[in-house]
Amino acid sequence: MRDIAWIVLKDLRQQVRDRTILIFGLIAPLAIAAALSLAFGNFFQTDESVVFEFGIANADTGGPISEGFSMAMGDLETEGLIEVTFHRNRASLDRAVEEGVVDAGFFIPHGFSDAIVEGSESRVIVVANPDAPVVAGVATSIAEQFALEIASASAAGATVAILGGLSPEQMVQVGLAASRIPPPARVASLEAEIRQLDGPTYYSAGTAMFFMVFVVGVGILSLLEERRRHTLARLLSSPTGPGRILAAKFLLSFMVGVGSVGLFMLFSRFLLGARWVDLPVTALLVMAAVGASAGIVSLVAGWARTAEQAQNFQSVVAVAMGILGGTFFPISGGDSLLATLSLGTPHAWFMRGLGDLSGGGGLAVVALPLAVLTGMAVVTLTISVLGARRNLRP
Amino acid sequence: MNTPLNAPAPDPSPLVLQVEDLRKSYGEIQAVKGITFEIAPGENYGLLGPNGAGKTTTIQMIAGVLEADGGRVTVCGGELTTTTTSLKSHIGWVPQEVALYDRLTARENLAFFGRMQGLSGKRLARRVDEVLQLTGLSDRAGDKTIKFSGGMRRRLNIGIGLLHEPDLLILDEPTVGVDVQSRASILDQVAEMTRQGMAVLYTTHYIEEVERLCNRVGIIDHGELIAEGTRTELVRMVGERDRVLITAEGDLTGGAGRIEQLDGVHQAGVTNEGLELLVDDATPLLPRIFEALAGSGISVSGVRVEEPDLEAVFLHLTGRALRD
Ligand SMILES: Nc1ncnc2c1ncn2[C@@H]1O[C@H](COP(=O)(O)OP(=O)(O)OP(=O)(O)O)[C@@H](O)[C@H]1O
Ligand SMILES: [Mg+2]
Repeated sequence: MRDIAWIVLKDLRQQVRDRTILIFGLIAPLAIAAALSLAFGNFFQTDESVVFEFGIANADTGGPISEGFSMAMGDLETEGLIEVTFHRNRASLDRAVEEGVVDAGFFIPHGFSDAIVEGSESRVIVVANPDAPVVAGVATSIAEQFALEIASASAAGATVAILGGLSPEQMVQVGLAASRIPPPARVASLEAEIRQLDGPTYYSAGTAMFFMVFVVGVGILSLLEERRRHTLARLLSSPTGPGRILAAKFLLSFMVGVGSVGLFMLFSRFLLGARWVDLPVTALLVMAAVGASAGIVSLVAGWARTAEQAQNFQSVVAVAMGILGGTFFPISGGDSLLATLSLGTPHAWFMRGLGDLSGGGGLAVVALPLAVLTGMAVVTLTISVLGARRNLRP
Repeated sequence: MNTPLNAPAPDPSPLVLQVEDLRKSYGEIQAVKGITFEIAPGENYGLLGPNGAGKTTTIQMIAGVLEADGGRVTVCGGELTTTTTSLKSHIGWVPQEVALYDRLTARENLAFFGRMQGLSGKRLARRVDEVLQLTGLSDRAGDKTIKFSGGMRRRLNIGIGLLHEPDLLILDEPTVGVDVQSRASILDQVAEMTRQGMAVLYTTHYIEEVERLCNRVGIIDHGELIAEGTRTELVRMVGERDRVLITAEGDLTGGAGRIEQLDGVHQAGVTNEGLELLVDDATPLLPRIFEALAGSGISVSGVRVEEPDLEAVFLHLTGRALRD
């Protein structure tokens, strides 16, 4: 066992002196993070910049439920999450939405409270602008949640409709767009059932994964390099034994991968305002994702005849999986071919796991992504270890 | 005798190394075709053969680095394969190619490989210092080996093989590409190791090195051991005859005829420069040869006596020169 540690230590020392690992594993992602934070600082800083303005027109004056809704919205306003303006009637609300005075509006029809109490059907109408699908989605979510609360309180069928100058097709589009685009953090956190990462967290996780793949092949690459430089033969002539040499190389990959992701997550927390919740479960996701990535890269790089070729293979895999895995833009969620392909990458599952975890719930809610990542890791690592054995000769 | 590390108590067998019918093919190429030999403790065994003869392949199998297709390697009484790790500490293998980590210093290289050999603590520190001393690299111990000259790298390469004081030191052409001075110091080191009782397996295609260092020699060609023995035994194979080369002018044919009559002379021929004789033992014959030459009115400007060497042995066995 001690041999393994010495080999890993020796490799780390060499890698640090070589600097490639430092550049790809640490400096490049940090530089990207800094650039992102400069470029999108306003966009990412949801706390200050993205505060939605909602309008409310309540035709159900005095109704206990509609007043409750207005009060709930008022509470959100006091928390600084949204801004609320009140409008006299439906027409003035529609105009405000149209003119962009508010981002979206809620119209509560006359007799709404009574209808709910009687157990008959009534609707909160969301007035949205088709040019602002995100806001429409957020407004719909709020209304839906309100409707759910009513439903659970009164067991009555309260439903929600989206109106406001939208054709049926546009409504579908708005709905789709809203379901895909991650709503800003604070509003989303109101919505435990919509488990999505906020912008900074999403892109930080993606960037961390993307760059990790560039360095996670270090084990198999250093094995090929040692073979080229004949030091592998020398190791094989020592009592250390081939098994422990392989173990050391894969451990090296794992440590470098986890280190790269971990450090980037730490820095992005401060530089980009990424939010990492439930650290133990997040750590499990990171380790499984690194294991799966190490397995895939080693599998592909193991086919290479030279260390240079293996390095190139690694870069190709890194870029391909980065794109497919949705680290640059979200892919998962739809059922396009791309979305299906993305399920083959550890990235997609890692992001999904973090998304699932963002609403709380711990290990139970990430069981599927964690299981998939672990499965990927076990299968690809096993095959690549078997493949790497053919390089264990002079 | 050196105490091996991590190793079971050695068999009382007096042999350090036993190689039996070792075989290896690379695809179509039969690199080693059934090689058998033994090395006793303290013996310095030379494996002599031209490029591509199969020396490195043989040695890599003995060092447990390369898997053999067939045959057996027994080291200090135990059978060694690529996976019998404990026996490997009996062997110190110095590969033909320099095998060092460029970005580590000489000391870091030694310490790392020392640890791989199971050394640690005070013993490791002491051995690293001793080897640095021995290889003359003490004052460069803190430099990364990428800054070393070819000769320094070679010396460190050898030093790593000595770290754990193995019972058997295997050197694969350690002097290739080394300047005259480094070469002399390497040969001195190896001679010193042998004096200290370490068994050595030394491969080379330099006859001088084998003649100087080794008490026993195996001649390898096309993957086969074609002859084996002490230098004297091998030389006897070609017949113990000296070659006398005479640079001379005059009636060479007549002179050759007269010399051929002498007792102990087997052959006398005329060459471009003079005469070439094949004789049993040149030293007692030379006065009589000069007498015969003077009698034929031949004027001699130079005489050279060549005793048969391993080169001649190789030529005799294969019909080819050892060096291309
Ligand atoms: N890895 C390999 N793959 C294929 N053929 C090989 C390999 N290594 C050696 N050979 C072949 O095996 C034969 C023996 O090679 P080997 O290196 O053992 O010879 P050698 O006596 O050490 O030569 P040299 O004096 O040049 O070092 C040669 O024909 C060589 O081409
Ligand atoms: Mg060789």
